[in-house]
Amino acid sequence: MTARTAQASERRDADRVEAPPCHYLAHGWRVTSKRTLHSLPIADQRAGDHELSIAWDVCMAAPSSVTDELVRCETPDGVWYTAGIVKGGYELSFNGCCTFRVSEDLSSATCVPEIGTNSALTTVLASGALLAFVMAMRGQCVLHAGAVEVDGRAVAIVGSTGSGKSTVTAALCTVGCPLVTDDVLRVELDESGDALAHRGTSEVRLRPGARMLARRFDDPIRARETEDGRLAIRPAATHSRVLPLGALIVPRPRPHTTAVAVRRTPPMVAMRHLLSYPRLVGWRDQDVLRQQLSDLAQLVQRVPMYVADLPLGPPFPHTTSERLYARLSEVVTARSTP
Amino acid sequence: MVRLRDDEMEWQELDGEVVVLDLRCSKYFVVNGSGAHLWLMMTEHRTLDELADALVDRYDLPSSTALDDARAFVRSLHDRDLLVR
Repeated sequence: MTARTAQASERRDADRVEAPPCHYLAHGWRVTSKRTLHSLPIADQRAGDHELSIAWDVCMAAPSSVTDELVRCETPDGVWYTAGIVKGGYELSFNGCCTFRVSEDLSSATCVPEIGTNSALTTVLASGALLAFVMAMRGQCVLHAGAVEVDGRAVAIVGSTGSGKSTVTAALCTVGCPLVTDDVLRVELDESGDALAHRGTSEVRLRPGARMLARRFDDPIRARETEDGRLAIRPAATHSRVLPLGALIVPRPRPHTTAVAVRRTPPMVAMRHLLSYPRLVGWRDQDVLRQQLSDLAQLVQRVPMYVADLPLGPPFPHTTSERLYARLSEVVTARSTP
Repeated sequence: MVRLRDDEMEWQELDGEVVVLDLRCSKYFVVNGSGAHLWLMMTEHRTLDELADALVDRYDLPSSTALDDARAFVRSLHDRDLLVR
């Protein structure tokens, strides 16, 4: 080794000295990662119910042989993501982006990016899809939902991708509702017959059409541009790690109206909604599917679902958020009153 | 005699309707109305006449209409491969 190559080697070694890992607490999970997971709240001293340690590799390793497919999400453009059983654990693979290799006990994962993948995208996937995957594999109930706190209870905003979950979540935050989570909500069905919502993310990721909501807060809030063209805002969050879930809301933007109408749906309609909007699409694992069916059937019998007809937006009048909050406060209060 | 398959299939009853998960194809579907009533009966072996009689009792249908309805329902379940062969 020449002096120059030795210096280069030392410099590479120095580059590898990484910052200490950060600890996050989301969905009842204590998550450890050496890369910053912007959307997750920093952990305090309290431990989570479960632990997940995420490592980050730098180069693509040889693909593993999947023995049993657990998830397969196909779009008109092809396969978006898959998950399967491999020797020693599981793999969750995003086509053209990265693969998460997850240990058999679901306590650790390593992200292996494909060449040219933006590392920020892998942290978005780790904070959302990866956590949703390990929670489901643990048998936990995961909704594709945002949630805010309304009068001491969580209200979940459920819907498919692009249906306005994050927009409505942020709109409710602008009128003072503390944030519970965005995009992924873990619900715990306890033995007393309640449904509990776990605090999840500390950011709401707004699509370009909804960025103006960031200017609706009375006090300036932290915001950052994300690598996938969204504006991540950080509104005031709930102080509770777990909240009773008071209602499920399906936002339904309607053209040509300024009114806010909130109507309760029967449990079977609620069940259809929830089955239509899984956080990870295309589950094939029979144990997970059985658990989801059982959990969702219990959930719709414990927690009422409402369809909320809202003016199409944003932009929509600030009074829309206030009216929706007022209606949600009514339904949540009515539910909690003996 | 007809009976629902009892392997790789899960279902939940909600408000008189049934949501079914066929684990062989990872698909959900909902059985409502009179179909849900027949579904619950078909967890045990039943004859077409028994199913038709149940529809007559519950919905006050003419016997011939009830038999046609029961036959059509059983055929739809058979087409979805949901019955014991």
